[in-house]
Amino acid sequence: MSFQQRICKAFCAEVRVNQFRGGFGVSTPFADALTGDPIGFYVVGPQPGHKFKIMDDALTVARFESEGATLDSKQRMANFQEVLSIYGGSYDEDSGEIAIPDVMESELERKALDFMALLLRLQDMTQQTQERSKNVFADDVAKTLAGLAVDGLSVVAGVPVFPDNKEVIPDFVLRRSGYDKPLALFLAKDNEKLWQAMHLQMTAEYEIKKPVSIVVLLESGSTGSQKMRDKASNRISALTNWRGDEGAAINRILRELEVQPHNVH
Amino acid sequence: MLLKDVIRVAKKNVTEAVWSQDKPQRRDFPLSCVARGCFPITKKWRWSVIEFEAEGAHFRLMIAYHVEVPKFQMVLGEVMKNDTKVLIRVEYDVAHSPFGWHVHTLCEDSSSISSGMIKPLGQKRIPAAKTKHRRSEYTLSGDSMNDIIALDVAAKWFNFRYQPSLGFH
Repeated sequence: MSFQQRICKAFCAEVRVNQFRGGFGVSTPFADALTGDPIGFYVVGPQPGHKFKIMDDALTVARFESEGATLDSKQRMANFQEVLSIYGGSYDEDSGEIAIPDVMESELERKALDFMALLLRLQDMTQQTQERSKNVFADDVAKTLAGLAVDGLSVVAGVPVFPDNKEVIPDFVLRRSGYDKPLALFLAKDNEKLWQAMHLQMTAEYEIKKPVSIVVLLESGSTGSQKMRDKASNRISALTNWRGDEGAAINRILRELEVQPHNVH
Repeated sequence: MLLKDVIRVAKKNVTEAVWSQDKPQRRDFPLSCVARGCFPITKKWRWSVIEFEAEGAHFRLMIAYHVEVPKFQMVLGEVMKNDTKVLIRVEYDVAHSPFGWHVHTLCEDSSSISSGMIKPLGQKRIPAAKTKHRRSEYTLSGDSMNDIIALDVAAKWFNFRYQPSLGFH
């Protein structure tokens, strides 16, 4: 078998085409990062004019949006439209469907590859957007904390607040010399960090029985669900908002360590 | 509470299946950890949420099928006031390989499952994606999916009785 044949075989080994009345379901070798299921799409037709439509399950965008990567952002929408246009795809905002319409039978193979590439690009784009946005927030906070000129203050990232309990690791642990109540700081972009913070609070209170301040810094006032914010604010030491009031947020954190208000840059 | 017990026991106070092709509202199937606050479904799908009681708890079941291609999903969740604890997703998708009915679920006690998430941590796909699926027929009759068949599929999976007329709305 030639190298080209081996490559072709590898590319096609896990591609399956399943016929149904009115079209075909195509299973690709790639897995959806959100569900773990294979990424698939559909070819329906022939429609009037002997044309076919290649389409998703009308949930690709809905699933991304449910993960927080909504198309409300102008930049994200522009990126989305750009990826669509590269592959000749369209998005119907009303039905939620992504498709390449009006495909001639002779073009099906090429367009099917384009559609698979389109779905993969959209998945990557969404993940990168979420990750990039998370990093900007984390980087901004890290730089601000590193720039604080407070005597005896130490800021350490990625370590457990109690050495013998590594179950939940906050984003930062702040300690002030001569003050024996450390502070565990969680940076939240979703409900998960609020859960982690509440879990650490309960563990410290009932199992470890050592004093600690648990603070969650929300990226914005609308981060996470209202229900979770309510739950957290009733349980942890403080819930603060970052965007738009960064200095006050840092001072609120420092106040937990009994540090006087500080000029934050 | 174990999922197998919830499925096995007789259901009480099963509500009517009202079908829709509009986007669901938060009240229909609330999920606090999801950005839009409810289960994501679009207008390419017909869906219905029925509620019932079992094992002393209250449940909601989302039944949804794509109107153009063989793709089906059901999500059973325990009602947690204005939130839902998802216990199992049952799915069928002709664009999977091998394709057939499969579930995403946790077999442990439901008390360990977090509320508000479509895919709570630790869920497993049964059978695994690459293994043989025993049931690959979409509908037993070979007909296209419709509201009545979808309700029948749900009733068989989750062991509840319904009046056939409840499917017509």
